[in-house]
Amino acid sequence: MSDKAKERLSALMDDELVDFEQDINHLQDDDSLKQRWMRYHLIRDVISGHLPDAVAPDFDLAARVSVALEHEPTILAPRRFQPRQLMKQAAGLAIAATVSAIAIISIQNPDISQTGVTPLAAADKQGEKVVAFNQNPALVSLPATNSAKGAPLSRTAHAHSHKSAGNRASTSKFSGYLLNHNEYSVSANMQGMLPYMRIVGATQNQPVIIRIANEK
Amino acid sequence: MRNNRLLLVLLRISRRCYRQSLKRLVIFVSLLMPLNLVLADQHQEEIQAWLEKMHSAVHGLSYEGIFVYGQHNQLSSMKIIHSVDKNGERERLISMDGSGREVIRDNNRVVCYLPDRNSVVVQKSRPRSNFPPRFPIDINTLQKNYYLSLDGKGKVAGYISQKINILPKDKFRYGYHLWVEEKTGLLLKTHLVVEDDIPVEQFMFTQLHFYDHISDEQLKPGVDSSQFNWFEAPAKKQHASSKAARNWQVKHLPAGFLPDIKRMTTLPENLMPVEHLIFSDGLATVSVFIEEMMDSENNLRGGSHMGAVHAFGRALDDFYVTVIGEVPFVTVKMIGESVAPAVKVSGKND
Repeated sequence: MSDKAKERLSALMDDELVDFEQDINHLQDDDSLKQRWMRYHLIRDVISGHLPDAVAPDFDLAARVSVALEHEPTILAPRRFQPRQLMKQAAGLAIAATVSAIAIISIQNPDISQTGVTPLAAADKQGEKVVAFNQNPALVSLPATNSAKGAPLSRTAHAHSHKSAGNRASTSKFSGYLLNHNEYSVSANMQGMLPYMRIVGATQNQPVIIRIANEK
Repeated sequence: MRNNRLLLVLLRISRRCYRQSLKRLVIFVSLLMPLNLVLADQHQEEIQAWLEKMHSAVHGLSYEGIFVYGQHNQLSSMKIIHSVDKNGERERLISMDGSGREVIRDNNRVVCYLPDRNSVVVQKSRPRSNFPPRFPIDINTLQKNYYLSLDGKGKVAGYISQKINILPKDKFRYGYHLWVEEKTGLLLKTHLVVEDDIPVEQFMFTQLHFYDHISDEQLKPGVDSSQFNWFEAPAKKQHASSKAARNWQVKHLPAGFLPDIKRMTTLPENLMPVEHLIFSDGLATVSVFIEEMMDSENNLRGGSHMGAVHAFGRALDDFYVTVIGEVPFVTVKMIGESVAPAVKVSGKND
């Protein structure tokens, strides 16, 4: 079973899938998937304490785990020399030798390496322009045009106001998207709620959303 | 004629010299290489271990800290309180300067208190208790798109921390410099950088304390929101209307970005059903939102950004597409411009 299938199963359990018809079909056909589905439910029930007492009287998983851990003897063993580590290093050397050989070939044929580079360098000039724009603080930190108190948050700085006059980015809509995005972003798993600092960090006189003037 | 021949000989000699010096350089470089590769291999396991430690720390510890957040030339200071107990994971983020904004999050919902707008925005949170408990960051996936390395130790907010570099192989994603607390694995500082290692966004703890227990009082909002406008999406799951249930596809994804899940959601402020497609390269995530065109006034047309988050919006027939993610603008633009209705499968839908 692929990780993808497992993940979809888990998402299905959390009621997160839109197109789940096929997953249901798989679930019906695949016995190992069916068993996994049952196990997931059992795990969830155990952890959230939803198992009836008849099945597991006084089943306090967390407590039992910590008791078990306490009785676990501490093993103090010296680290052994691992021949596998040596093999790994030898393999690394072999790969390195191959890479070096390739390097020699490509350096001796400057024509090859050059043709390899050209399309990359010319890949997307538009993108570079945008990055350059972002790096220019003078352009992106324009003060809000309307900071009157009580006014609905119109802190949309217009980098090129003549172009974006009828083009105001709505802060509220941006936040709505951002909330949804943050909840499903991979980095949220790594950084917790830190991505929300972009919403909280906005202060009275700061532009929240800055337009990028690159329209054709 | 003679001159010409002399020139040819000279040219040949110089070419030989050039080749020899090249050879020497190659030998020198190739002697260095094996050492590098072996070291790199050993580092991979170590980096994976750090990333896993970081993941469990951010969700498994109770702490309170003050940090600064900077983007371009602006700095702001915030306080974070994170609690883990029998009630699950609860967290609160408070602005320390100016707006008085707060975000409080638990396993059910995310509530944003925005006193500067007299409003409160509520959104259902994604349950973090997913099964199986998946660790989202897999180093083998990451290595396709990023260079990873360990980069010595330093001190942040008084804690010794390990620096990890995750740098992009192309311009479609940001690079990350991470400082991770040595003992607990908590993320103490980050630099989000563009290709040439220029920071676009920074975050750093200046004060941090770990606690065994955090009182409920500390997790309550500090603002009186009784007079505010509340915007809340209904808890009931939204189903796409027949019109919106069209199949969408993204034709051009930057290398390494793969489709994750697809869901229906509701925007809290206008209660519009929106289709949400998620793409990720294992670290960076891009969201594509597709909705029926209603209030065209408020749509995010063209490009915009909020800190390191970029957005791109455009109209597509009767729909509106908004792409948003912590990625450079090229990425959201490329994805946004290539959203198209999928070719209809005959017999499906009417």
